[in-house]
Amino acid sequence: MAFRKLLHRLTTSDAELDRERLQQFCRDVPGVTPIAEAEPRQEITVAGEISSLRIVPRAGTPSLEVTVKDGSGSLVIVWTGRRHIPGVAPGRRLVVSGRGTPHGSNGRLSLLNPRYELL
Amino acid sequence: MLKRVMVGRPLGSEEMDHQRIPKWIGLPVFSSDAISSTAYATEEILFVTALGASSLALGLSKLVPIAMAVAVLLAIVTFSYRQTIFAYPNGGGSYMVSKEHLGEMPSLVAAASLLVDYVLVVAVSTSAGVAAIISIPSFRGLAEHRVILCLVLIAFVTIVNLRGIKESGKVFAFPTYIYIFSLGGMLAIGLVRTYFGDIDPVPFDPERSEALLETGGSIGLFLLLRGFSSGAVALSGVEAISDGVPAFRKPQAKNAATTLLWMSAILGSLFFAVSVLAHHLRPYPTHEETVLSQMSRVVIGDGPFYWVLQFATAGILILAANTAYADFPRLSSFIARDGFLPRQFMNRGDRLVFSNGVVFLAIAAAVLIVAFGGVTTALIPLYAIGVFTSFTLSQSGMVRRHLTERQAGWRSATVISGVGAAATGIVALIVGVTKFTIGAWVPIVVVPAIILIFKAIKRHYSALAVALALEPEEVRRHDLHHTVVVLVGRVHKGVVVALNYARSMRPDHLLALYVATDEEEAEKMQAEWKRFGFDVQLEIVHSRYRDLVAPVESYLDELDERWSNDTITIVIPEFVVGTKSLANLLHGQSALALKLALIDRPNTVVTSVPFHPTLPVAGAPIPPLGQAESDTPLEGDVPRGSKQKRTAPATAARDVDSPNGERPRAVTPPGDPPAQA
Repeated sequence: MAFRKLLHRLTTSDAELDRERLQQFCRDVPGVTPIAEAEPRQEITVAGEISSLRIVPRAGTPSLEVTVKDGSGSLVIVWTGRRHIPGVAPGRRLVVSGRGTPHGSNGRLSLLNPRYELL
Repeated sequence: MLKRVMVGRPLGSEEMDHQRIPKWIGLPVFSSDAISSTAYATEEILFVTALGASSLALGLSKLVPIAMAVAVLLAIVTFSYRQTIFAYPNGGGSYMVSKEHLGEMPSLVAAASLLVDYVLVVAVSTSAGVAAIISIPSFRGLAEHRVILCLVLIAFVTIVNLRGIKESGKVFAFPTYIYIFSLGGMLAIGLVRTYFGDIDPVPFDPERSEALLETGGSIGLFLLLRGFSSGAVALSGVEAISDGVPAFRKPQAKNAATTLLWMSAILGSLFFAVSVLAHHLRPYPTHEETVLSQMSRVVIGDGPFYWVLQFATAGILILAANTAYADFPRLSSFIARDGFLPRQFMNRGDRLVFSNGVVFLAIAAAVLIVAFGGVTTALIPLYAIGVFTSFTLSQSGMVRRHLTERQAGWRSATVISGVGAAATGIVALIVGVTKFTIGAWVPIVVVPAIILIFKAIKRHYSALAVALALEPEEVRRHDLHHTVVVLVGRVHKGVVVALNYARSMRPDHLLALYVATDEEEAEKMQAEWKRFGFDVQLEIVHSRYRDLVAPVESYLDELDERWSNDTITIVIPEFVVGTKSLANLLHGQSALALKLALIDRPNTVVTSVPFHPTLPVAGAPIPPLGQAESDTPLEGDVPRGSKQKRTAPATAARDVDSPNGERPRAVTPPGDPPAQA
């Protein structure tokens, strides 16, 4: 049993450590809620790191979509009307605030055109 | 190339039947194991009785009685095995017999014991063969390289066996015959001179004979039995013929049975004669020179005859190892067929031999040689217990068969097999008890361990068979929800090919994925993707630790959340610079790493789309990089260069708008948007 625990710790430590690191960082940002505790249809302010960025092909309305993680969970941010925001790139940390809407079937939140501040 | 030289051309399956051997080759191939033991069995008895009793004279005096007991045992076993051969013309020996008549567990015991013993045959025979060579006074200096010599011999026999049994039979037929005749000649001369002439015994050298008194000491029943167990190793290999009946020419059973009789007669008389001669010539056991070598030098001197005999001894011992090479792979293929060993042991290699079994045997024997320093006497106690266990099981199985089938003559047959079973069972017990502390414990531990492995393998195969079993009503169409992710390292021709391939699967979602380690890279990729106007959504994932695999995995987890219940295919564009090219070293094997990492992920397919870049021939001018790109409107779906080895890159780019026969269909997706540059 102890061995299994040790094995577990050794095999998952990378992802786990990364999550802890992010959580620690976001805790120090004043006035933010962890993403996991954010409620839909409420004004929320969260901090996090951009884990991925989506570039939608030319056809259709231009938009920029990023996934932000803070170690407790993730949410999707969509900025419409533009394809590129200087400084919004994978790995960048930021604070965003806006009204969350459920995104997809699994209760994940998304923020449409939130206010943002790069950290 | 190397393989062709060493192993030979592949043989077609229809050449199989030619791999059958006549009796005169069958004798050396299958009985060299048994006959070769005359080279060391007497010496091993002497090691036990003389060293144990600290008395050479006492040890020598017990030699002939022990040899008689062994000869009687040999006769019993031979007659029992003759019946087995006729009853089982398809071979399989102990394993088959006990499986059929005693049940699964006894058959596994027989199988495991035999496998262990075959490995020991190789180890003991090569070490004894090397001992024969370093006994020659001129080669004494090689004694310290014992282990390496043994390993070289094992490698040699392994290669010969990978070529196939018939040829190896021919290669090896002659040493056996030379051995039989030269040893027979030496013994005849020796015995004649002993009884009708004058001959001096081997000079006793107290320094070389390892704490051995010439007279005095004492010997008890335990030592006698231990000595007998050492002599009983002469019997190992008797079963080889019954295992290998299918390798004989037709009529297989009759030929095999005749060969068995020849073998036992030769083995019995040589062994007995060696022991009688030793009794008179008084050789002493030492690791420096074999007993046989000591006696030959007294009888026939150091001349060419002696050299022939020593090399023939080494030769037949190598052949004895070869016997195991014929049988171990065959037995393991039988076991594998029943699902107790990995399926790979069932496959015949391209030379029609069970290559995996051959290689496995070689490795196991080499390990034993290294572990025991290549000393025969150290290996002997491990030996024989397995053989006698399998003898016992096989004979018991035959008794059971006679009693149930009651064919003509079943009464006498039952008696023969019963006596055989009882005698060999007792011997197995004697070997196990008297030698437990000096090595017999090894097989006693290893055999049950192997049986557990057999069982575990069987359990796995059975569970897998249940899990894979398909019922007709389960055959129905089920449309997959399919997401295809094309992994992009940078924008190049291969990406286009991969994207087209991905589109041809008509996925529900098609994405391109780029893993960026810093912002600059991400920005650059973003700009490139827009500039080339790819019509596929690109996702840029951040890799904080500059690693490819982990970010891809966590991204896939996200995809699983986004669209539940779908199958994800990851398409990796891969350059192919030829599997044999050294240029492979210039390309990271990231595709391979990713495949390995994702192999455990359910509903995930990792595939790579090969792209064959047209590399300029050596000496030809290399067009400046980027020229082709700037000359032509850039866009996503140009089938440049793919699978067209003959087309130079620059001209290929101009073929875009004029489709011709050279354009591979697969890379021309319908409905792609025109260039927008």
